[in-house]
Amino acid sequence: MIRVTVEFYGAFREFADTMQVEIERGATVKAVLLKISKSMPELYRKIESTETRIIVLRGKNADLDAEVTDGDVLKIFSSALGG
Amino acid sequence: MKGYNNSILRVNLSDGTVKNEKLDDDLIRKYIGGTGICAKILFDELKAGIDPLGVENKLIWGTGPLTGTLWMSAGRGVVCSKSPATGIWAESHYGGFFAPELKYAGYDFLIVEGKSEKPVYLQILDEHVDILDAGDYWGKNTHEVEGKLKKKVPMAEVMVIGRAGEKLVKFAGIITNFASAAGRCGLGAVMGSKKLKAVVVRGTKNFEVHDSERYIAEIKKAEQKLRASQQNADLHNIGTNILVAYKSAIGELVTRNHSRGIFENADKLTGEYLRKEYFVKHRACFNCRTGCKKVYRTDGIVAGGPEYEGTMAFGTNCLNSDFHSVHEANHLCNDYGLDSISAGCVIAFAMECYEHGLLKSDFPINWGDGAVIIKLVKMIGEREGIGDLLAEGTRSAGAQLNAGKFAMEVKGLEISGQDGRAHRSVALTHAISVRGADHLRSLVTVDQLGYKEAAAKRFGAHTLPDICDPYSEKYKALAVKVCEDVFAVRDSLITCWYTCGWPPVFWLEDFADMLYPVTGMQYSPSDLQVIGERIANLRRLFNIREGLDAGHDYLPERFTAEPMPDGPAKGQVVNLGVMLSEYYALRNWDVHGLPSEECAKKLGIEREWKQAMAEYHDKGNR
Repeated sequence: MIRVTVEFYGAFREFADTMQVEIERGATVKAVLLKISKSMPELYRKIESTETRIIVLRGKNADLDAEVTDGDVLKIFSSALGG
Repeated sequence: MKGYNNSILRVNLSDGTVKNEKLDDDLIRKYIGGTGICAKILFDELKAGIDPLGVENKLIWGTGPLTGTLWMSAGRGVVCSKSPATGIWAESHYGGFFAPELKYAGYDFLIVEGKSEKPVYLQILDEHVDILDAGDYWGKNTHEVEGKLKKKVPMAEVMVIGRAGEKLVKFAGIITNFASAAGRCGLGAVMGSKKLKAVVVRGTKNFEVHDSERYIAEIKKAEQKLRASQQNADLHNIGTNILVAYKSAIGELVTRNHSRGIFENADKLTGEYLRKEYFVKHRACFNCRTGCKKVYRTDGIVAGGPEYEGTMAFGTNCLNSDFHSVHEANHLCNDYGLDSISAGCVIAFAMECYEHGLLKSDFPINWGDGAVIIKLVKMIGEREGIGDLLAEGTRSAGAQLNAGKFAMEVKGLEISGQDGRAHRSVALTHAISVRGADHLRSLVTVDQLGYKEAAAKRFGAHTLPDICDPYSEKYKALAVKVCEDVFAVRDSLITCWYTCGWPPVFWLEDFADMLYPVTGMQYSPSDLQVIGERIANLRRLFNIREGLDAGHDYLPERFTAEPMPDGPAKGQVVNLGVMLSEYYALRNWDVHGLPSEECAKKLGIEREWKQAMAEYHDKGNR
């Protein structure tokens, strides 16, 4: 098992600031989100349905099939705009 | 033409004359409004080489066909001129309520020319236009003057300069609604040079649109689209400071005078944190469905707070995590009438110069010192001590201090809160932007955010996946060119940046849908793209006749030669040359960045091209 920290920003922050997820080695971002759905189904639904969401893994935007590794911090934003 | 008053108000402060001129239909068809029509008027009426603070310069307040209509976010206006900060094209857009009020008074554009001998303000009450004595207001800052003028003329809207504009600080802005600004390019100094303290406008008229039923239907459709957007909800709930956390995550949070992309204490400046700790209420512009602006409370200051750029400028870029001082510095900028981006960036520049012993001061100017930041804002606004040096802007101060390598500017304008090393397309945007280091005229965003569907739709499926690689130069020239053209249309209509800057809200097809019922002008999206291209080229020609060319499309070496020192973008530098070559080719410009005759002919600006090229060559350029 590996441990991943998930941080939530924007509209997702209304549900939680951060979460620790333990998951099998080789798991993907999608698997982490599914794990979150077990304890926080509403947050999961919100993330799933937010077209503008951005997932940042190791400083880069990540797709759902990106693999997470032990100690990763997954940052999930509902959007990002301004300037 | 419907959607307009078809009227230009021209005021000459030298001889006190006031004229009402017809806004020509052909001008509207070719340039729509806003920045487009301002560009055409200023190109025709300003001679190359004039002093931006001299009697020959002019200021234009522009509106667009959408301004003052039921369209959401139709409250914005633009002020254009020749910039004292850069010596080239200047445009600065502002929110609030002034622009609709000008339109309700019966005018689409207000041109102010000449120079008054003594301080005056301009009062426009529908057709009653007076140049009035401003002796009682001169020497005072914006909040006091706006309050007094609004008391004097109930229901009026005001644009006003503070002491910084009076003292000709090169990055003085024009303030409206106490905390909104036409901030960039030093337009407040142009007002100051004309001894024009304020413009007060009250309008009670209306204007017609071409097909009101269809327009309302289009607005309803668009409103549904906007309301369904999570971005719109986030902008309302958190505001533009929502960017702080994201930029921190990807290593593009402008830090330490643009030298780094991460700030260790950024968690004290995120939009989420500010909302929890300091939020008082939302602010919105005329008829806005978003309300992106926030009022914050810190240490007894309750005021319109900094947006992302202000938080960057006085916060991360100065290594300052104390939001109290960030908020106060931003508030002081609104009161003095200073552009917060330039003010913060020139202070970060001063901090780096002080660190390296290039700037002498009788008090320490150390990184992260909020009290010093506040002190320097006041000194700049008053032109006191080293504030006088900094009031000339980083380019000038860099030259005087032999510290050009620390001057983060392009064409004389301080660089906004992005870093091309972590977001390649914005490097090109900063380098080529017509008003200097600006992000708002062509910021791509979909590449950075990884919105592949929108990127494919806008720039072609063939551009994937490279277009969404923030560290690759590939296809970024195409994206910048497309966005620059589209945003020239946006800024001519005029509609708010936040309704169309980020996908999946509004783009050219939406602009075409809304323009017809307002004006009766039936343009396809590709017609509008050509108009945008025409405007982009005309503004470029304005600069070319001032002697600018490819040599002025540069970036500081910090971006091209100093690898990002840490964070996710560690090791990245910008290869600007490859993007510039591609951009010039896409625009049909030569290697010197000069539009070709063929390009000018295609866009119907051949006469302007001939004039600009002749003046460019007369200056001894190639």
